[in-house]
Amino acid sequence: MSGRRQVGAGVVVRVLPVALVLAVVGGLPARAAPVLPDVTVRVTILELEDLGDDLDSTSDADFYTVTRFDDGAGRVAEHRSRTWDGQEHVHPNTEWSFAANPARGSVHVRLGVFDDDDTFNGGDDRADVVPGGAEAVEVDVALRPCALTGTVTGGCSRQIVSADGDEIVFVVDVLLPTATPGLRVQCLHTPIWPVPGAVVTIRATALDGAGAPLAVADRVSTKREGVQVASVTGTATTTHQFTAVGEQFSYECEAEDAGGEQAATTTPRTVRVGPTADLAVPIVHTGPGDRRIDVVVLPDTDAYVGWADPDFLWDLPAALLGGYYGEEFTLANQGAFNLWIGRSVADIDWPPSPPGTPNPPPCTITPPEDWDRYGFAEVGWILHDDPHRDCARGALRLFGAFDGDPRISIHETGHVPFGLADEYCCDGGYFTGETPNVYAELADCQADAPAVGRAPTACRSLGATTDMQTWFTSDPDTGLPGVADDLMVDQGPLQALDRRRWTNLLTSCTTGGGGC
Amino acid sequence: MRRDRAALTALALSAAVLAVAVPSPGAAVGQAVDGPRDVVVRHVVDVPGTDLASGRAIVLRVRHTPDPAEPHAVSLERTKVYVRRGDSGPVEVAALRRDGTVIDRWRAPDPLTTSAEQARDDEARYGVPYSPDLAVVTITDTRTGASTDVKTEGVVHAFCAAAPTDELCRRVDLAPHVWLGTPGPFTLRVGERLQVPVHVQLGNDGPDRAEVAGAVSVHGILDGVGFTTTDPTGLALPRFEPGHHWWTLTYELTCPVPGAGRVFVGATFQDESAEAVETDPADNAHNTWFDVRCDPAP
Repeated sequence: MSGRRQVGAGVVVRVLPVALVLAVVGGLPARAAPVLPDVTVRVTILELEDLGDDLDSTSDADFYTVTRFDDGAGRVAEHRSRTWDGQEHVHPNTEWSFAANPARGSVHVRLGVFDDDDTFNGGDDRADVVPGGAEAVEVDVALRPCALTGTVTGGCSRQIVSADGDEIVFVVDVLLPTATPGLRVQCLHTPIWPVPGAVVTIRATALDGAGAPLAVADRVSTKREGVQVASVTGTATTTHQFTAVGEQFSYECEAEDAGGEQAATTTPRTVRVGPTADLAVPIVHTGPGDRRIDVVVLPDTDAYVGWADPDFLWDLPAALLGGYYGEEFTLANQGAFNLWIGRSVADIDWPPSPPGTPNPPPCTITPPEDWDRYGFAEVGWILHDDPHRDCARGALRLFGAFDGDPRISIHETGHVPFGLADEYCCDGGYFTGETPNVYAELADCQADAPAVGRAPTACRSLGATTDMQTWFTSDPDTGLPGVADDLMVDQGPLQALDRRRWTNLLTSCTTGGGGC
Repeated sequence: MRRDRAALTALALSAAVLAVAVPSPGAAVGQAVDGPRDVVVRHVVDVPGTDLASGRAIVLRVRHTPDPAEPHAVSLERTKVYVRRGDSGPVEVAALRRDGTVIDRWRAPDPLTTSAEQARDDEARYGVPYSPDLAVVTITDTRTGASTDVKTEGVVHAFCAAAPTDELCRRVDLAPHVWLGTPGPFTLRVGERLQVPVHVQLGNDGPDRAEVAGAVSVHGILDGVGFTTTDPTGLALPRFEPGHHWWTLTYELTCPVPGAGRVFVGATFQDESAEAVETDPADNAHNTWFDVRCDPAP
């Protein structure tokens, strides 16, 4: 006991003078421990199976799950899933998330599986998914770094199979925030749709809060299949290469700065490898379609032969890096999007006409013949390489965007599926509705301005629009050449009214599970 | 059997632990460090995209003139469909149950809005997630209140008739058999009451469960005889797995006047839901008969 005390005293004696010298010479103030941002504990339930047909004797099981999170400090959340009626083996692909601060150390997760029975069948049964008679899967999830201990054995970001009379397959992830105020992470793989045997390059770059590349970050890293495969410090970009095998791979890019106070992740993505008979292939799949904005990129018939056209696959990454992955707001929400390539082709045309041309030709969009089969998609993006103006068709859930100006894709996404009107003058599309970005009456604009943190005097007329109506907005348009003002004016940054509408839909989409 | 499966699970878990134990590379300053190249643990079970056709959706193609017109095409598609929450247009789409209660409702843009970027569309397409509860889709222009109702039963029935093995559809084979609990003929006097038990057996040879609606009817070749019966109400089984079900009904006969006649008892059962495909409609009805003689009162 005394020896330990002596050792401790010795350490103090030896370190103190050094610390004092450093403090005097460098003028270093004592630095507080970094305040780490919340992380997200995510449980994804992949499979449920009644192995012994023991849940319902006269019919198939009616599974549902109850997932409970507890951070031990009063923050608790419990989620009951929907019921999958009459199926012995289901693939729910349902996820539940919980925000927790790394200062808590760990979060307890309880995962119960049940068979929904009416009173005729004796009430609900508890599915037997844990060997040894435990009533539920009980896991303590260490937060940073992620690690699991409990009634199951396995690692973070991997399938965990737990079974006795019944079986559950699930994944536990601990995710950094997709963004903090001063940090984003831009990351993409190429080739965008690799074939087996292709060398795939994943390049990750740390960006600042405005979406500009940083010179230096604390850490930029890449995980593949949940395992860290590349990491750098003292720079802002890392590259990882590997050979594509199998049908798919998954990866996640992360960045940290300011001692961990700034953090960002792409969230895990799954990428399809190789040819398929499916209607569409995921090039960036982040999660279940009922909780994601699903964007299907379709080749324009004037530009590309089809979805396997090398030019199409070459053009798309640049369009993404300058578009969805080049804008700080969409980067901050990149985990809310699934990106697909569609098998079908579509067409967008808009012949140019001089200003003042009477009855100018309209923008025309021709959907794929089988577009009704793409019901999972919130929107289809017709990618073209011929430079003409673009448009969106809400009623068809399609837009076109030129690969030569990648930010057009974000502008058109503002129209569909986010429902924003144009804010430029004079021949855009103007309409109003719930949480609008343009208003038919100045008074409505002024009344709504404080809701987005603006003074009523910020409201301005859009000018003499060709629809012969008068429209107002409080989003800015300086009109200055070379100044990008607003997403719905000139493909600039998202401003307050744009952000409100995007945020509303993204929030209800990712948390509601009732569509997007 | 369970132990075998548990043992396999344990092996799988061991493999997972081994995979987890692969050491992560340390961080390097200013250069990339490649990690293990033999990562084999899959992150998800299903390959995304392979299940896109696993959902079912009803797609309506509607021309607005300017009021929403009858759809010129309604189809049932093999696709997942998610309700679009982002639109703020003046069109409301509502999915309704048979009793008129709302399953879900959402807004959609006006296809006739015209501008340079929003040229009018000839038609709007509305995708509605299929549900067994779905009976009607209502498209309403909230500005005028004009609306059109589209019943979904027809398109579901046509889909299942063409693709009876689809997971949405149920193949059923209902076959009733009806017989008397007490063999006839029966004799009774005017003013008397006679109870005749009738057994009804209903079989569902499946392979899928049925939602049964049926009835037993009585009619007679009376030859001048009159009598009354107490008829059972409609017979129903909301969830009838393949197998058999029995009812016993009691008919009460009375004779107002003397005479004789032959009484037919018929049972007819069917699954009237749109998802049901009756694989043998020829045997959905069965009859039996008995003779009655009414003697004068003493």
